[in-house]
Amino acid sequence: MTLLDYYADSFKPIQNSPLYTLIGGIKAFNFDKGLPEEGADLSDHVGIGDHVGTQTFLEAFVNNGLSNFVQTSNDDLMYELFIAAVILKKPLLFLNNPLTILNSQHGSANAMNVWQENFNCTEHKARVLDSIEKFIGNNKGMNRLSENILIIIDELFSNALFNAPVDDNGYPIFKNMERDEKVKYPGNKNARIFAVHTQHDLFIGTIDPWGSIDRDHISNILHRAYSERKVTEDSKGAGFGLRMMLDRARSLYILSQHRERSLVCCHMRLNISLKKIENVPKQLHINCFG
Amino acid sequence: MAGFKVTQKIDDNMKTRLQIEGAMDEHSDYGSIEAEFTDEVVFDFGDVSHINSTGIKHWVQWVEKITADRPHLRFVFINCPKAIVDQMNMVEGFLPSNSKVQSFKVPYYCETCDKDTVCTFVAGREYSVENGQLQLTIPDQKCGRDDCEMEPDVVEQKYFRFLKPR
Ligand SMILES: [Zn+2]
Repeated sequence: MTLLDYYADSFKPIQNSPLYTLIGGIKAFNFDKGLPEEGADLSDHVGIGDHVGTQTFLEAFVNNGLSNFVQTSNDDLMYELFIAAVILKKPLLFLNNPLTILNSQHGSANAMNVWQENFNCTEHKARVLDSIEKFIGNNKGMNRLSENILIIIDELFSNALFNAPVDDNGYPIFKNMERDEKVKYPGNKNARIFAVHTQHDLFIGTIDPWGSIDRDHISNILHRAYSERKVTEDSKGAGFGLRMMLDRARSLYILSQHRERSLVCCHMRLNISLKKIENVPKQLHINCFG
Repeated sequence: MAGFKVTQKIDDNMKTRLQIEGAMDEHSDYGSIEAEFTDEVVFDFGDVSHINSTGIKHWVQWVEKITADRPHLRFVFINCPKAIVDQMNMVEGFLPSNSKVQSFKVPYYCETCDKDTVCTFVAGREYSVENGQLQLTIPDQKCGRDDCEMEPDVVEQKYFRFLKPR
């Protein structure tokens, strides 16, 4: 079954647009009808289902190569299916125009408020945190989430600085350093951290110049973080960073163009209760390509 | 953004009280606290702004070490914000086995009025353990209107899990 087989009516309004063609051939795997069989290859599928547990769909990320999961119960289903299609079929388009793609549900008329900072060393963290606090400022919707926002910014920042940099052979440069050591990107490389919000949505992400994210590795870390309650002893990170982001978001988008750049972005909803934020079924999209 | 800081006090009962401020992050260093950890230590988490994954790891590793060195040391935690309660529930070893949470924060929210506040739950007042059973009373919180009220803005089955007798 394809996504169109499931949602033909919903996609009808866009059937003359290139988007329709993009979504057209994508196969869907419906978790409501049963879990994937062992050995099934779902790498070109989008997983869908109603209130599917994070740990459950992460099993398929680890065992079946699944890289996109969308909750059919969420109110932004069509948007998430669109994002899944772009990430699966046109990842470069997303990497080249992240804000345009993220804002596509609102149309260009609905301007986004944008905050961004460049950084390349641990010493930039205080400036980044001070700056995001100013951006949060008196915006009531963001203010209620300020603790969540700070945690996400903090995790994104240290991921980009410690985990992303690799040498010419692809070996991590800073991964095994203590997280309180001072590090700086070699050369003139910079990463960018951004937060953009519309009236009801908030996206927080980083773009780093390394393109070193490995799909299997990320899937395993997330799966472990949702199945065990222990901090990792075998690496310098705690193993909870990605989970802390996804727990506070509704979706996580991860794109990595090999040895070029990576994008890690959380999608959050403004103006809802913390309880709803925590209870919303999670969605995940990964494409590491090139 | 305030950096990590620990202030040491001796309270009225001659117990060591450690006030943690700012971010519990990669700069959180408990090993350098020059306190006498004798029978009981009180941690006041009231001014913690947030905690990151490295901060979780530092804390868990320090707790593991100090409880191995001093198996009879008792921990008391006061004014724990949501950021800390979330970790007590998520991470094994965050809450040492020989410990008591004396008070913690619960965010409240009224969706109708978009009003929020934070309440402090205190042991013996909102919660207690009797005969191995958790007794929890969730107080009402008015939002200012007659036809609605605030309710705890947490997933109750998850948020209060750390209170259950272990
Ligand atoms: Zn109200």
